[in-house]
Amino acid sequence: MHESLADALIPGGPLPNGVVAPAGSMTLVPARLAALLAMPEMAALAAELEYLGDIAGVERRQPKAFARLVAAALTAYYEAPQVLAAFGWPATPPHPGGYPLEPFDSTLLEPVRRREAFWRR
Amino acid sequence: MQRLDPVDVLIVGSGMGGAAFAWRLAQKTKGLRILCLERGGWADRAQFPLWRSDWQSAALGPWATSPNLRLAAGGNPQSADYPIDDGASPVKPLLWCGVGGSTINWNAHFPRLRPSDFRTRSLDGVGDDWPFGYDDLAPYYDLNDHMMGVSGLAGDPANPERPAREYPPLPLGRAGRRAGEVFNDLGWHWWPVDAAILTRPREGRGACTQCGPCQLGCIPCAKASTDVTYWPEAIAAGVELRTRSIVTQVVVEAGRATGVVYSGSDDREVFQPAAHVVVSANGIGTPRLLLASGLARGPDDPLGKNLMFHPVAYVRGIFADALDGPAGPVGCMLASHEFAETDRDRGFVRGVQFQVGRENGLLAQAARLSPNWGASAQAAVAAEFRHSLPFLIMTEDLPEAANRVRIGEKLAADGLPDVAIDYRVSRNTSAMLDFGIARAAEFFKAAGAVRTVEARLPPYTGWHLLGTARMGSDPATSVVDGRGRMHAAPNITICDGSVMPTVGCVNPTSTIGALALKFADALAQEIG
Repeated sequence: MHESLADALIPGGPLPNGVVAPAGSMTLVPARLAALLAMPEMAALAAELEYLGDIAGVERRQPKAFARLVAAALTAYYEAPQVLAAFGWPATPPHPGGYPLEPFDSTLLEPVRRREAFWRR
Repeated sequence: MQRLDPVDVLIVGSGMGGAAFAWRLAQKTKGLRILCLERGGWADRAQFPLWRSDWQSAALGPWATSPNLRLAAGGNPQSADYPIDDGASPVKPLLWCGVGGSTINWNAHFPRLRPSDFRTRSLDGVGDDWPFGYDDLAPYYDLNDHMMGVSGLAGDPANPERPAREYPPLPLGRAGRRAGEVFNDLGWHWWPVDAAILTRPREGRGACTQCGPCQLGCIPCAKASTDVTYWPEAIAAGVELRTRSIVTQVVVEAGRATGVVYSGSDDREVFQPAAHVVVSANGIGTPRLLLASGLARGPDDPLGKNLMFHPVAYVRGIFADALDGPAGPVGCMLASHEFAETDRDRGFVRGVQFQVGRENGLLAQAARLSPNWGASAQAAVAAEFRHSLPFLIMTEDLPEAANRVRIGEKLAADGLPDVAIDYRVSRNTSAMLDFGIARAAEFFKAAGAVRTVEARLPPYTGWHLLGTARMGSDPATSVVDGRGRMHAAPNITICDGSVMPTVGCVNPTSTIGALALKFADALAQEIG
């Protein structure tokens, strides 16, 4: 059930811009959903989701619990190294490597430099 | 209650205002005992999340910019947060409570107010004039720039001339180049931002690596925060900084402060006598403490009133070709001041600033979609990530008494009264947002964006906490005078964004630092 739910929330597959994303079930999302839905305060949501018939309806009926579920799924998914790689981004944390960027090109400012000062006294 | 040895000057809060004040006062005087009490501790960069693979979720939880979100996620031991009831405000306050204050988790955009921002009443009939002008503050802006370390370019025609920046501007990247070209095509002003971010190393601090989310704290200290700029020098000059010390009352007798009551890490309350008290606890924390100390002079006192935020809107353009993604300091790329001065034909008075920034991380981009699950949401993530350009419209808020900080009757866990804010967006500000959104649409049309996504007044944008202890010459309509001294108790100085009577349309931290240096000079002249 958790694999199916993961894929319903995050189906994966070929996406725009050439991205081929893993399905939610191919990541840690099912495990994260299982842990969350086992919590006592999520029991009502778990019961409603058991048959996966009408997920949008569940969202309407239990918006807060459902939002928590989606947040957990998105976190597990979009922090997964294979997902970051699929979206064209390094899986390593931002520090210490950082990222290269095109250096500043001051010639772009020439039209602005030609303007008179226009702030008020 | 234990009474400690007296000090000459006691500063509450170690952020931009408190740190600059402490350093300058120590530089300009000899033999004064200067003590700063800070409710939080020193930042521990080994624990900052940008080393870790879960940095994206940290930014939505214990490292969120909102203290309320951090507390809801179980708290962050590095920030001594207190809850703020922000239910009556569409804009949610963002801040940090530790050594360095909100310079720990700010984005370090470092513009100055313009001369007209000091004379809004005289020029435009709104707000109030400051007790002094831009030229009086300019030398302090220069000094503060040097102490913090500023990258950028001099020569901007939208602002008064200033000295050459000590560090070259941050890279614009592909996205910035595109934006600059479009501004040029439209004939609109733009300029690379002044940023309190090093682009070359400086003693004890590294250069920016363009790693992105500055709000999660800067591990190499390229981003200026006062724990690595002012504080080492202030402490070397003899200032004592006492952390984990929560001030719960400024004690006032016969119209003068005699010291403060605070509790340390052992929760024991002590009385710290002081000849002069400086409060630098931000635009919410400062009025909270001073109102709790009974320093409002009746119901009409402006203390706590005139809260200003700089309400914003975002428009993001989505492009077919790839841009840079979440690379580069997220809040520092380029800005346009084309519409920053008043033109009443626009339907509002005063002005707006545009900032073009960098993208957020993949998780943040996915989480903010609506709907954010299912096949269409995932397709939207793929279409937007590394293909979007955020355009920020920052408006000039004007003072209104009904926008305020107020305290409750119950005590919060930190021993101070509960605090709440009431805030609504004015008609003038709303017109500014509409104007800015329309200009953003023009911008993205000219840029060839496939489509745009608009976020008017996104809630978690309350970085700038301003105006709640306004400065002025008339004691009836202001809280402090032009030296930052409270009319209600002249040996109390207020030294943070709360003293700003008007706020322009630009980020305020550079001005807060300059004001602190100016106020410190005034006190040094008197008691040094």
